[in-house]
Amino acid sequence: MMSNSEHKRLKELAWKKALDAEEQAKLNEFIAQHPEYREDLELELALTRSLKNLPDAPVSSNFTARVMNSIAAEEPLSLSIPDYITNLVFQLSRTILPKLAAALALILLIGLSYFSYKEAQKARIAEKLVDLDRIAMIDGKSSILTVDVFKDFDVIQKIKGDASYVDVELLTALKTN
Amino acid sequence: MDPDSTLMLRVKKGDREAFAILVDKYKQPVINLLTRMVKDPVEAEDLAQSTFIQAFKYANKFNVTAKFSTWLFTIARNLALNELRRRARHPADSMDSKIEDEEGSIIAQYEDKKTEHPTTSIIRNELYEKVEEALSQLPEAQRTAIILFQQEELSYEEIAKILGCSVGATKSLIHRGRETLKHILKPYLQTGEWEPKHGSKNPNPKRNF
Repeated sequence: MMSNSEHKRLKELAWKKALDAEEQAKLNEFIAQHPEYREDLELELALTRSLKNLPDAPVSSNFTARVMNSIAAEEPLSLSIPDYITNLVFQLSRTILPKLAAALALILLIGLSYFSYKEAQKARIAEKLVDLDRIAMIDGKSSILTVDVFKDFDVIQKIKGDASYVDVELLTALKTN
Repeated sequence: MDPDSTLMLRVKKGDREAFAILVDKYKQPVINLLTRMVKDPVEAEDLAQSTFIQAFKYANKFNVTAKFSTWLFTIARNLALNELRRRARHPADSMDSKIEDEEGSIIAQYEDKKTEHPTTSIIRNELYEKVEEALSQLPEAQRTAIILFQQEELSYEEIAKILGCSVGATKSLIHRGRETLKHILKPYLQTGEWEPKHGSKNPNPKRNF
């Protein structure tokens, strides 16, 4: 004789699948002995059938295409980390890197110009010192300008004054001595 | 490894065709669940689209030893619950994207729905309207559990994972939900009034007891 728990188990089994012959026979026997359960069992089976046969909700025929298009539009978000880094570098190379390169080129150009200017300035001062040395030669033998004077090139450069000015009186005094 | 997990392995490597196969396979069950959760087919499609986008976006987080359908239904349910909470906070601000035409009739945003013969549609409505109504009266967890159990034929264990509760609690949800449905639908279940009125009627297939 089938117990109540077995009846419950079979009833729940019928929620999921059609009962096989043996299970059905057991249930029939139980119902024959307990007719008070018949109505409930009929309701159970009718409910199961109705739930299983509920119509599908409508789906757009282009649903999959729409999903895949949306995924394509959001691609950067869905990349793996290495892909994301590659993509980031690519994006940077397209946007920030050209600007960075232009800025570096400008800095280099300014640096070179400044360096050239300083070199030219040094050359000009050196030229003037040579002229001064030539003028300062006494009897074509000795000079008041020695190598020591040139050691302080930058100091000389900073000395204010008209380099083209020649102290004639001093020169005359030097020559007479 | 089940075929869905194999496809997800390909998706993890960036294979979109593999993901399109999964979308095709699961779009109907996901939209069925969402439609019955949010009770709006257009909104359900939008949420289903978001579900699949999320699934693709977080494919790397999917454990291939897990069941894809369980993972997907969990995402779908969470999105639907978020939408239901949002609706509860802003009842007047609906996501409903129906568009009214000049004559004031409502036209769906997407026109290319599956169509069926009007008569068939009416009969189907007669048959299942009551069941849908009764389902909509159930608490969300009971409704979701019953839909996943009866329509999508998921196991108790899978449903428990989706709902985030124990197997015992899941069985209880289904049992209580079915009891409520039986109570609401008893007159129709007993008389067979939901069976087609205009077609060949076979409301009580031969039973052995």
